Amino acid sequence: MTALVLSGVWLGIVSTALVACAVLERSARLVPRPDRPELLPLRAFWGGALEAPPARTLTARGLAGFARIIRSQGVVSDHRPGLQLLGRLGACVSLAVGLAIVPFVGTWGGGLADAPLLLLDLQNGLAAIGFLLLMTSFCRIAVGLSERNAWSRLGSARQASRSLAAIGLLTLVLAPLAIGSGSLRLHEIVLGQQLSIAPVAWLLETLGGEFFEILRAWPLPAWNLFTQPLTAILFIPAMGLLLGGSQIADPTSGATLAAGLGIDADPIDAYWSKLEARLSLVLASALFVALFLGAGSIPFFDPARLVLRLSPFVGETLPTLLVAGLHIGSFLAKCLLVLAITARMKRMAALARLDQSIRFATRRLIPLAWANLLLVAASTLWFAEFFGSAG
Amino acid sequence: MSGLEASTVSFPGTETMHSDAAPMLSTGLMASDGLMTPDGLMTSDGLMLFIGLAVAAASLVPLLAAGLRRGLPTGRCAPQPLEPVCFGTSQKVRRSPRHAILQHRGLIGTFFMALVALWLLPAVASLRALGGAVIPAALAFVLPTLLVTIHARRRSTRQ
Repeated sequence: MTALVLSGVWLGIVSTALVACAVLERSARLVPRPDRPELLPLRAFWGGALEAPPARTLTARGLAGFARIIRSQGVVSDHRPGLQLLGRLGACVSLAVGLAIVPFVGTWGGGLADAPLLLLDLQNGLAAIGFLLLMTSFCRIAVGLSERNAWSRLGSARQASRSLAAIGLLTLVLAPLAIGSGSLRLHEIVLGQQLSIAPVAWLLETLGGEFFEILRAWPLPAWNLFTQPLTAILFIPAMGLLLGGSQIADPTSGATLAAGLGIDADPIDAYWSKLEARLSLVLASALFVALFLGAGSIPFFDPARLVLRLSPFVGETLPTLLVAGLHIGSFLAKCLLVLAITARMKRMAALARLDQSIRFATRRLIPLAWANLLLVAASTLWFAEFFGSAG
Repeated sequence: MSGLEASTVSFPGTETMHSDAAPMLSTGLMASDGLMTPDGLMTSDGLMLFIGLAVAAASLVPLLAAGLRRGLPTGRCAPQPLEPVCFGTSQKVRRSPRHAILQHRGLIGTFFMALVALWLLPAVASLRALGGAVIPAALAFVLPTLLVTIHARRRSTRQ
């Protein structure tokens, strides 16, 4: 029963996030913003018309895509459909298993010591996430190799070099989180963010006055976003490089365009490609929420106290379910907020070619991640030595 | 009985982390039925069920489309042979370039060998011997050395 209930909750959350991705893509394509020209929908290079197809309703676009899938399939002589389907399915399954490791639901009862409600509770969950993302990259490479033409194989080689740079960067970005929380288990990393911190409390203790009294009374939630801001900032380009769509330069127009592997012939393959891209986005945002925004916890709200206060009147089960629902709702709200901010940032930021992205990651971001790792390790040692705790 | 029920998806040390799972199971709302162990870990059957559910949910649209395509008249659902995409007409352009395949194989092979040689084997051996608590101390010792080395290498390249 537990696994089935959790699977149902997981499916509901992931489906909602996938629909939100589609809605955000539509809004980025069609909603006019005359006051903010940088947020205007993308336009074609020649003619100035909208680059995307003109269907304005999400339902119409969905029905048209479904009709294309029903239509007869094309069989290309140099494609290997088995390897292609295996690559697409493998990528989707590894992303789904990665999402199953993310703690969506919290604990049964809301307390820090209560039992975690997790589909896959792995002791080395952070390392497992890295290996699952690596497997996703290998599946994408397999999709490119399933076509015998030169361009797909060059795309596979590019994907391989991109995965190398991105996995290196991601490892360096995730290591400070493991050092800070002292564990690779995602549930413990989330538990470490449930309390609140008073930033530079040791400095405020020594200073008097009304202003510092106010500062002392306003603690921050102990989210890794506040305790390790550089790690949070570096996590975004690492996931973007690892899971984002690849960009190529179009020599005829001089523009930078999206390049997909194996999506030129088959509508079903385009469906799998789109599902994989959206699952990647959902996994990246869910990981950001779990690792840096305290998962579904609500700041300065103790759910265990709510259960304790309500349990004399309605029993323990109903308040516990209410707390689990609050946790799920909070997680979903944070996830959708991250998706919306990501969509806006994608519209505002300039597109970089693949070689530019890889050069930026290896020359700039990886040294920065090394420095961040050094900083976190040194501060952990410092706090452990002088204050007796790793915080 | 397939024998899978007894095995759990767990890593060393996980078993001891769930000794406080009693409140969840004592409510009777979520009784274990072979998909979860009493400690709250998912069994292999549960994992297989989850992956099956995820694949079924993702394959729902293509399977529905395939079912509808079968209901169409035979002429409309016959697969159409298409020419492969190629840029140019010469034989040299049409055939698969060997260098891209070799580049890909080299990259993947180098990555795996480097991963095993540089990271996995020494890390597993030393962590097993010393325990996870040495990681921050080791980083504090290694990273300054590495930064100085990188800096010195850049200086020598400029000269």
